[in-house]
Amino acid sequence: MTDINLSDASTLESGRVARQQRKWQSLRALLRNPIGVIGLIIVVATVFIAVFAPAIAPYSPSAIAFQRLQPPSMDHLMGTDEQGRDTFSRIVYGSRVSLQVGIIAVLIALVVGGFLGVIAGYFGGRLDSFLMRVVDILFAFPGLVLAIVIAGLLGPSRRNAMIAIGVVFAPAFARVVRGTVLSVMSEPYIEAGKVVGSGNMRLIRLHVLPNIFAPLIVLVTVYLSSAILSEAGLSFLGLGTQPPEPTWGGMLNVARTYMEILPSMAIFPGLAIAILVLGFNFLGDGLRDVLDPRLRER
Amino acid sequence: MGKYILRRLVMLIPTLLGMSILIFGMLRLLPGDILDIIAGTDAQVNEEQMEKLREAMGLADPIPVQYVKWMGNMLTGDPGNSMRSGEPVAELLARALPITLELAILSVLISTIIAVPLGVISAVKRDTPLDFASRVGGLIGLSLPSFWIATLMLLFTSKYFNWTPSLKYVPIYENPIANLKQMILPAIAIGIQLMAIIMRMTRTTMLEVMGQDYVRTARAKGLQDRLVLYRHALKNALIPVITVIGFQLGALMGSSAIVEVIFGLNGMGNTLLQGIFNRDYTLVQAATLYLAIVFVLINLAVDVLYGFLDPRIKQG
Amino acid sequence: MQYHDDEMRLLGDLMRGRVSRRSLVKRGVALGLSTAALGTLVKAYDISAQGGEPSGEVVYALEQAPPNIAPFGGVSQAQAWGNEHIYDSLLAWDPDLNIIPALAEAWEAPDNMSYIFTLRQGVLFHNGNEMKAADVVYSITNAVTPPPPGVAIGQLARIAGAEAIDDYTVKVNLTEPDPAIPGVFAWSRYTSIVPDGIHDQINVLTEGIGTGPYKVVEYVQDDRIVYEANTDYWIEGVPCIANLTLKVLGDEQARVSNLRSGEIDGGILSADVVVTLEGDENLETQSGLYAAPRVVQLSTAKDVPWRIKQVRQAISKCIDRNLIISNVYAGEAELTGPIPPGYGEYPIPNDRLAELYTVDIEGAKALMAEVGMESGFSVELQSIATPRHTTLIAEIFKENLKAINIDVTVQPLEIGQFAENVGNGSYEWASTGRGMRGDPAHFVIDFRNGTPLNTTWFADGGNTGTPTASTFGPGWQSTAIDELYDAAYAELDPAKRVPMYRELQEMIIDEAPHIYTVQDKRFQVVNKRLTGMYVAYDLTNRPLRTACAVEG
Repeated sequence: MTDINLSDASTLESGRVARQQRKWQSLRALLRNPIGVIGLIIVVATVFIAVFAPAIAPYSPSAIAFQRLQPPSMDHLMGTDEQGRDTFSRIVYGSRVSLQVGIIAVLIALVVGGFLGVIAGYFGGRLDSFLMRVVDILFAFPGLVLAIVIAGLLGPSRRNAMIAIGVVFAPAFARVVRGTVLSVMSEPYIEAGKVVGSGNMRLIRLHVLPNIFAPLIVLVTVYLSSAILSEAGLSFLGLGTQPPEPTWGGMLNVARTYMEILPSMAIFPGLAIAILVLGFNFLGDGLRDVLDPRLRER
Repeated sequence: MGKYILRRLVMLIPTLLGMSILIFGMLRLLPGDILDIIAGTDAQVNEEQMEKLREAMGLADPIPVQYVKWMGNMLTGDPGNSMRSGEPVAELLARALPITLELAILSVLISTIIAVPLGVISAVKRDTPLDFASRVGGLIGLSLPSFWIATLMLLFTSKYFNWTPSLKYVPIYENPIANLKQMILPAIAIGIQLMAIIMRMTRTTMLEVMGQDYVRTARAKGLQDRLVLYRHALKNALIPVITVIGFQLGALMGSSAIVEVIFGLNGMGNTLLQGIFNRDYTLVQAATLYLAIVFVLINLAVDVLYGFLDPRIKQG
Repeated sequence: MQYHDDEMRLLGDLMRGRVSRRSLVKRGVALGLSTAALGTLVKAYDISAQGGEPSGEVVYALEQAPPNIAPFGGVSQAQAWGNEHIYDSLLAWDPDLNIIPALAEAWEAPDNMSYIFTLRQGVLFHNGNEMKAADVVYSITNAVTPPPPGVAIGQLARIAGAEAIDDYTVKVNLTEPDPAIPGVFAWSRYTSIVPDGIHDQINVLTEGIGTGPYKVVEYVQDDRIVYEANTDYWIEGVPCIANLTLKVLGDEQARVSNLRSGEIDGGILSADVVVTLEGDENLETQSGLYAAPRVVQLSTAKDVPWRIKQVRQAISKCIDRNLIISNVYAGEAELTGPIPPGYGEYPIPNDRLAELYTVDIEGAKALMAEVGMESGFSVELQSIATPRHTTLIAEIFKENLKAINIDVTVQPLEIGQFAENVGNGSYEWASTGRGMRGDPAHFVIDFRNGTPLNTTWFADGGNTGTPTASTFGPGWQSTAIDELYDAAYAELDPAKRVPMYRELQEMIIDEAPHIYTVQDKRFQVVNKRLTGMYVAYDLTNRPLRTACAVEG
């Protein structure tokens, strides 16, 4: 799991929260932000391709039906792979798997990490330090070991790769969320809420969650691309999504063998990953510019 | 400050204890053990004899008993021997750790040197083609898996220069030049992603700091742009960047495995990987704990540095 | 140029001094070798025959790290790669798998229940002591019951013990007659000869004292093993290389690059990748068959549709083995039955296999219909995740079997888990490969009712022995196969054994408890400065024992 990117976490930790949600205004602002728009278009287009894959792909992604290792041609826009399958069709179907891996892995991280973070940040004290020790343990645990063990325990498969990546990412989410919640907790309206005797759940729902929404969205877009790359890393070790199911990372890994004979086999999945990662990150950048008022004011 | 460091070190104890239980349990739950590996997929051996062997090797004991035995040995400072080769684990790790440590430090150095200036330029020239180009460049770096970059590097240098890094590790204190020649490519392969991350971080924090009141005030007072930038903005912008760098340094320790495999370097990543694939329990357990300690120490060092850079930050 | 199997055999003979240069030319012409090829052979011979001190340094890449270099009890191929240069056995194989003397000059079977070996005199261990009967007795005892973490090897199970008759004569006693014993000794893999008491003197997992051509100098776990020439080796002029390093380089592209740059002098590559090195004038590609027949195992321990013979036959009829040859092995493979091509006279000839393996979808559908299984079933096919061959074969099974409505889920597993599952029978189907065997019987032993793996894989209830509810009949077994197996095992005359083992294989292919597919060729690329290399049939790197390195 070399490619796990525990990156912009503290950007967000240091970033403050948009005071209020101005949904429509934000969306309009996003649409005025060129980078954000490009990102949005890429992501939407990928989702479109994934949804309509059967209509777009000219062949079945798993049919071993053609001469192997063909260069791109009119019949096979991106050539054929080492088993004689149409690479274009595999890229198209691969968008489904890659998106799914990215989204579900990040959702797992979001739910697990977010839950721990909110609880720790909101209640603080002993519970906070206990939960943060647990998070520390997971954090300091080499991601590679964690992923191999999880994949080994559950067997290598798409589902388990998603779980493995999700678990590895979760501590980062927990930390960021906790940090943001702590900063929200110092705001006067929380104090006020407590004074007037609002319930914890109500306070979390009404005041805490909406305020951590913005940094989380940005974090999610960053980690989506990491998840897609991590799946490629797992594929390298034979622990990722299993053949014949096409994933971009898996295809890139197989293509390594043929890099000199048939570079197109490596170029197309590489491009696909690069474009989607670009899309997610641009979208994330756009959202941050929009949601973080201080960046907007300048 | 001393007290703070001490407290952090004390906090390391429960962390390590939790980790030891976690890694121990996980490895035992992992299907297959070292005997399955030694017997291979093509064995004409019978299960009965295997069971006897497991007893002889202490693998048949209940897991808690195995844990207590292992912990007992660990506490006396003996992490045991590799189950495959009988070599002391401490020696194996002492051989592997410097390689990975050097790789991590080198890749952080290279990526920082390149990425921080790029990030600053990108922020200062916000929304210009220069900014756009470096952001896209950064993201492309972010979207290439390191194993892919590593392969490309080897194929390229071997094809066009008939050269690949030496396969025999030379420690830096023995021959710095030979060592660097051997380590520079893997370090870059690992560093490209990091470069992208640091570049993006620097740009973001720079933008944030530049939007802050005191910088704007300074600018309004007519201080020269450049001076403002260096004096105030950069210094403040770098604080979170340093956190991320430190954090990544730790993370790299355990995650450089794939690049190590490709370059034939026998560092911690490779050791861990082989250990897991061979179910070499003692080796993997000790390696995981070593890495955790290094990870925590690096983070501690970063936090201390953080405190020096920004006295306003309350320790804890 | 590319060396062919025959040439390499000739070269092997030449180096062992079994062929004169004149008869080399004669045999070479009979084989249809070109003069140029013969020239290269003779040149290689001249270099190695120059005699004198071993010289040169060679780095050879291993695809997998040897778990250790213990002389006994390791089945994994990588372990053998680590220890094969340190140790010899009593017997050896010539390139045609004929048994030839090694540390024993002669052997005989005075009765059915024992073998007597006469030892070569004056053979020195790496520690300078002479090898004597006591050492051999100690070695055989440890080979039969290896110390942990070694596992006891099935092929040696019938050895009751060994005794020294005098300093140079050893008697091996059996519990049951076993004609395969000389073959197992010739294979050498499980029968290293070590000095008496070696386990009390050194850590055999990382050090070694043998009689082999190289002494181990340094063992760096997961990284490399360094050897130096044993100048007292008992074969004159061997070894020829002064310093040998085996470097673990698991990644194929890394081996390609390092071959090009000269950091390594040789290594194994896949057929597809070899093409990229063809233009390099410093490198030379060699290929040859080896013993690892690919097979998809069908477990009948549980109540499953493939307990019905017609279902298994239908499966076999659907599998396009030529597609496996072309897609998985780039055309560099041959059809195989239980005994792989190249194993002397025993394998079924290729023409006959082609008939037996004709793809016949209609026939398969008819068979399925005959037993009411037209609607097919779902099954999980486990394979090994890396290296990918077995998974790729599994994918072809999945595609091919759609024709008869069998829905295959391919489940690649990490090697440790796969090994455990196959070992204890936790699989429905498994795509794997067999390895080298010391005797043809050991390629088919698993189909003999009552043997350990047979029970695990086929018997009703498998390992647990608890019969399952039976819709599809009992677990697989065949009395006819058992009888022929026993008869063939009792036969010592090779001329009579060959037809028996061929018939036995035809019966197994017809019964199809396991679906055999193909045997690929192994491709080795070596730097031209390393001469006398070839692809060894038994998957060892034995050629390194006699190879030479030219400076440069």
